[in-house]
Amino acid sequence: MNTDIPKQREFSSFRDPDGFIYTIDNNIYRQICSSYSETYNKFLESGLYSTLIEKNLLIRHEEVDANLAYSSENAWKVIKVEKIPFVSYPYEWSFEQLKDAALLTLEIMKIALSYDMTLKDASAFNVMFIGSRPIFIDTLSFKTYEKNKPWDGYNQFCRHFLAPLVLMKYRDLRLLDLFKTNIDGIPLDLAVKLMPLKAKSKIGLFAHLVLHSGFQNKYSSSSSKKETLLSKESLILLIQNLYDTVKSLELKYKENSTEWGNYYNNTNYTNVAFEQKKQIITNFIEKCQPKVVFDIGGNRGEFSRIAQSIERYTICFDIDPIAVNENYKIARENKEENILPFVLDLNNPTSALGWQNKERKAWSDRGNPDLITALALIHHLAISNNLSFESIAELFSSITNKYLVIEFVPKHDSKVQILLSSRKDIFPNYTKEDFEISFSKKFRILKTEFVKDSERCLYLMEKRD
Amino acid sequence: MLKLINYCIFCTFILAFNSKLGIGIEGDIVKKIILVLFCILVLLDKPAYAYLDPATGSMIIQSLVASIAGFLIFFKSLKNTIISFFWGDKKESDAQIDENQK
Repeated sequence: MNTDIPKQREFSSFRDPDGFIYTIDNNIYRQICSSYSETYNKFLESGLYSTLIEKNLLIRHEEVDANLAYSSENAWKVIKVEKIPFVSYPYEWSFEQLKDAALLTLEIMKIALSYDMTLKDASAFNVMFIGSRPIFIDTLSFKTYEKNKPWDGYNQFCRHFLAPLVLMKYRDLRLLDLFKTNIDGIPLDLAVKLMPLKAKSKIGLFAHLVLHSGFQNKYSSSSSKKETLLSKESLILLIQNLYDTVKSLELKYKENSTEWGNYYNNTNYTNVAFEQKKQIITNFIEKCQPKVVFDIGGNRGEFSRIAQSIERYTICFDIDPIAVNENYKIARENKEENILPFVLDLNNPTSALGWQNKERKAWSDRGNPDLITALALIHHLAISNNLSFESIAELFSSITNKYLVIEFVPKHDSKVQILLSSRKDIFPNYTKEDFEISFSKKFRILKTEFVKDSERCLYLMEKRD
Repeated sequence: MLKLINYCIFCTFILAFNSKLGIGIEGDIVKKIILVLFCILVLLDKPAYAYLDPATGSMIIQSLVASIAGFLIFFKSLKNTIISFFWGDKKESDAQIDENQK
């Protein structure tokens, strides 16, 4: 083992006794312990690994020199794992993203069973997104199928996937936030309490959630010793039924049921101005050639999609789960692997969560972009949340590596007037001049362009060193 | 005990059969009755004893859910077999209707 290379162990990788993740130079490695050697060999030799790779379901890895091991203790093998461009967690996904992640997990389980292997667990954190493509990232999640043994991951699957999906569909999309306070999935008894009768009366949901929760409660306080047997055929039936149950959950909403879902049909731009705005942003992006872009308040990703390139990866953040859901559906349909739709409230962004508050990272600790685009956003921060321009500039400069494209929306713009209509105007400093002075403290203004037929203004700025 | 189990099986069969033929109670209610009867069936079954952990309930429920899933599939195929035996292949007759309409 080479001790000279600086290695950083991934904090969240502590549960699995068979191995763990660490990084060297921003590359991801996994140390596999000898306890997993037999299973790992079977996983590869049976052809399961290559099938999953062929179907684009599992993250790729290559075996590397054992010298790169994190510690020589218990190091059987070291693998280098393909890197995910930007980490996102289940509580930051839209409904369709969580549903696709659930279906991916079950699909993998079905394939694994056909190779006489099974999944140890069914954590939603085992799935990540490369753009719109979900991918399973836990190479060590597989184990040999034991005859007549039920699935260990069943309960976790229901907590991590089925319960949140059902609550989102039948109650409210915002209930996904319960995942943040219940880091190991929504407890089934809580999910059952919140489920409406309509959901409980579906036979699949009644069985997987209501009955399941009842059985869990009954046996958790029982001191009797029980073991159940489940034949492989029955297990396959169970997985297929779970798959069909998840697949049948369709989210229905009216086009304009949230503030932003129908945003682009309801903007302050004429068609000419909208096209011109696109052109200005294209020019700005071409000038800075960013590799990673944060499109903050990106809605359905209209502006994330301009001047796209294979070299560029855009994370499109929005507070509205319906807009993010729509964005994901567009990305999925176009098979886009360089746009990641992401639910984020900038006024209360995802903090670090879990064990020691380090297990799941804060959104700002998962990599920085070369460019931030903040279009038609400033008035929501400055007026709705009473933030000063200095404070907003400080946030953006702390995140971006280099550039910022920002739109200034003047006070007499009707969108700002709506925000001011029910409150006292306590924003005498909300002016273009003050905006420029405040942002100039953190950024150099490279270009300023007015949008036609509106008094909005677009800026390209570069961070001061 | 055996009589009760037999009675449950008999009731479920009759209910399911009737509903698939469109006689008697509506499909959704029948599904629920079948479920309850099945719960009784499984709960009456003698458990095997070994080792307990907090997920025991999750382990036990799996065989129940798998039974329900299997049961539904069984009746779906039974329904299709019976329907096609007495009234011919549904798809074929649909196709014929379509053709007649043209």
